[in-house]
Amino acid sequence: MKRTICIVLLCLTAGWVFGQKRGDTMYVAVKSAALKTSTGFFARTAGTLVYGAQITVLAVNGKWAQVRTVSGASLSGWTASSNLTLKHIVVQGDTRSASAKELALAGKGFSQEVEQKYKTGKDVNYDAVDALEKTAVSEQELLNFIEEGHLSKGE
Amino acid sequence: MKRLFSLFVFCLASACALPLLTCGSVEPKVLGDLAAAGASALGADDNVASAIGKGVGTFADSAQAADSLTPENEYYIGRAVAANIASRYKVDTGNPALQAYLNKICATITINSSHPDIFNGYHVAVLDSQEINAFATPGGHVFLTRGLLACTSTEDEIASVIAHEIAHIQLRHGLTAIRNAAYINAVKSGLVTGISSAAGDDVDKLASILGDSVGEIVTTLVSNGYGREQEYDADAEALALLAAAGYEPSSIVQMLHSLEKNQKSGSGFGKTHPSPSDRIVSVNKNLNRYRVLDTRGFRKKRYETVKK
Repeated sequence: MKRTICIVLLCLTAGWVFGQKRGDTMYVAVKSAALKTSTGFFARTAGTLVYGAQITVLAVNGKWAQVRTVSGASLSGWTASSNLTLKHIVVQGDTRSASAKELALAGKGFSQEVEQKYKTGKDVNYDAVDALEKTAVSEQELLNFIEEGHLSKGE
Repeated sequence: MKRLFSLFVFCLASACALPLLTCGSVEPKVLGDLAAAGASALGADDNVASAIGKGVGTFADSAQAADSLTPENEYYIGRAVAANIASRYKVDTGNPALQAYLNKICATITINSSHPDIFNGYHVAVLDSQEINAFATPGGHVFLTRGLLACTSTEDEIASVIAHEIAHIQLRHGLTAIRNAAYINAVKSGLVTGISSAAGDDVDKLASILGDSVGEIVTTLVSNGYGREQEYDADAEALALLAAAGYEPSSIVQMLHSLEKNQKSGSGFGKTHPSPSDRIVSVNKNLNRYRVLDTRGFRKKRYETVKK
């Protein structure tokens, strides 16, 4: 009995290990993410990753992942690991994805189209939300703020 | 048998070590896992048999659904919650310097967190209300009332409130407030996530589901509250966020003392959060885990300039 339990646990553990190895290919989970030349929020920006872009993870260092883009111009650099997902996200119009049934389609489901329908005739203030989302803090302003206040620099 | 056991231990050790070494260790589902952990931590709901199909799902159903959502789905849920808050309260656009200051505090907290980015970024706005209150949406929108800001006396206290709201976002508490069966079924079937493509009448259906789901979050934020466990979890996470950013973690306790003095039981935080004294007891359990160099003096002048 004990032996059976051990074997079952062994199989489960092995499966988990292999599952982790399959995680090489991931997708960008935010609208746009800066690709940095090294780890750290204030490292130089090498490019931008867009939502749904497929990447290969090259290395991991703390909360940072070194990645290379799979399609389009080949870009590589570091981004926060939390910007990546194993969920297959497909940007509409990308016809290379054959098995669309298994994929989440960007712009489908709860999306802008559904938002338009939802807000019709409702007492909701999307203008205020749009204005709020336009507020932005530049990297330089933030760096000045952090240095003046003796705070941490996102490393 | 011993050999088999050794082999198992070896594999287990490898499994633990591998995530540190391989690219596969980038685990994006960590928030979902946290939500699931929250589900079991809350316990009570799990003992109730799933009521899907009858009308109301459990916390576990909701956490599972949250894990299936795409970042874009969460963003549109968050926008709708924000649009409701911005309609119930007036967004104060008259003090851009204050708003910029709050957004810099927020960015300092988020860039030092495990989730520096969210789908369309984190944004903070002030609500022109004397009520003592704050809200956060799954889309990264954070709202603080004028009444709440008036209770603060340092930048670090403002940071403690923002960190608590960011914690609600990063722990995905808002999404777990959605319990309606139509939403949970539509997530399971792939309609919400776009796995099954939305035809014309599906858009109507999805808009209706979005409305009901957002209604549940707004009711939770404004009237019912998340419940004690999620508030204590958000406070505990806020301590970690503050410490990582270089803010003084004990500022939460100072802020809670101020709330104790100022808040009224029937409105704002007084209606939706555990009492400040209970929260202080909970925060104090974790506070000594964090040691941050006291640099508050460097932030005093700018706080006073903005507060004028």
